[in-house]
Amino acid sequence: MAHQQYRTDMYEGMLAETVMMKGFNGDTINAYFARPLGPGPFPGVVLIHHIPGWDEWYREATRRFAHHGYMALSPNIYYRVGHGSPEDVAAKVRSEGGVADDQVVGDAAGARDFLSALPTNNGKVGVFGTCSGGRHAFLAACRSKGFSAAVECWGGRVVMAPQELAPKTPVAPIDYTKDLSCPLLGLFGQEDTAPSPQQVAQHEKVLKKFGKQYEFHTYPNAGHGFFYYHRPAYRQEQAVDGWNKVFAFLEKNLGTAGSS
Amino acid sequence: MCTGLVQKAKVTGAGKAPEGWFKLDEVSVTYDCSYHTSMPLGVNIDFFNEKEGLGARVAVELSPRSAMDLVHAIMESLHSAGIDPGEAALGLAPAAATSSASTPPNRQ
Repeated sequence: MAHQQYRTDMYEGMLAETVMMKGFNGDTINAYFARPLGPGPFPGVVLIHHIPGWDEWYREATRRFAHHGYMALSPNIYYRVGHGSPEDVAAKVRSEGGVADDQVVGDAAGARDFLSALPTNNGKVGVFGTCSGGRHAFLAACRSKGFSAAVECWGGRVVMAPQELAPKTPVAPIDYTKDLSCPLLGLFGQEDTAPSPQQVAQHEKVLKKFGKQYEFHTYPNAGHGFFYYHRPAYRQEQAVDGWNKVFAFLEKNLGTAGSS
Repeated sequence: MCTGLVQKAKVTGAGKAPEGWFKLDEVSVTYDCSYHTSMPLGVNIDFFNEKEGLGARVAVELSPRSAMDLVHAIMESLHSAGIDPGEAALGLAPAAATSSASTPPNRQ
């Protein structure tokens, strides 16, 4: 059951478009912005896209948040690499070992500031991401103050062995746990290998150690990317329940349209 | 990236993209999320030519077993042609016969 309650006689509208915003280091990058029409105020959500790039699924997810009453902004964290099909751009980024953590945190903070500066924002902005974006969502919530909720979906490499650290990823996100500044929702698949159930358990252990507010859900018969309806990894039952948990969590921590 | 496993090498050769053939100058091999197969993670091989733009790309996504079979087939092919794979990797084989990796891969 979705948390946005509809009536057949209610007005509904949405505006979704590409905009420019300031990201890391003051760089101008593009972003996909979807927001409900109406007076608001509306809570905000920043969506950090996954390793397959700033693609159609992320545009749909951005509109989905708007459909549920959120001002949703998905920055193109691959903007600086150049432009082409999302897949070609993502392949280039992948060949370069991904994007630097500092840069993604800066872009996420820029997106948050973009939303919170709007008069229709209710003063709260959350951050959401899947796959590498899940890792980045957790990282942003630890390293940048001002988010009111974070949703980490199957973020790989939150836990990193010393030999995995690299100039672009110099610190394992788990080592920033003490700085987590907002409640965290984590959704994982029991059959995933990146992150593995053991890594998720380690992640949870450190959250507990620092007394952080979090809820983790690990779904059986699900692996990596079980929300992706266009991939064989899709798991209908787990995805429906996961989305419901996302919206319940955000409603609790960010409020709903019309609330402030 | 969900695994961060990347290997890159400079290459000499040509590849075919939707617009036709282009010169290759680099290959990256990652074990990470795949886009088009039933596997959540796969061996993704991308040949590029940076000067030709982001669309100048030849891509394959393979299962780990298939990737190993490919490596074996390449090595067998070189062996059958009388090229020592060790020499080929070091760029020591006759020029007419070497069109594959010219530098050792680097871990990113």
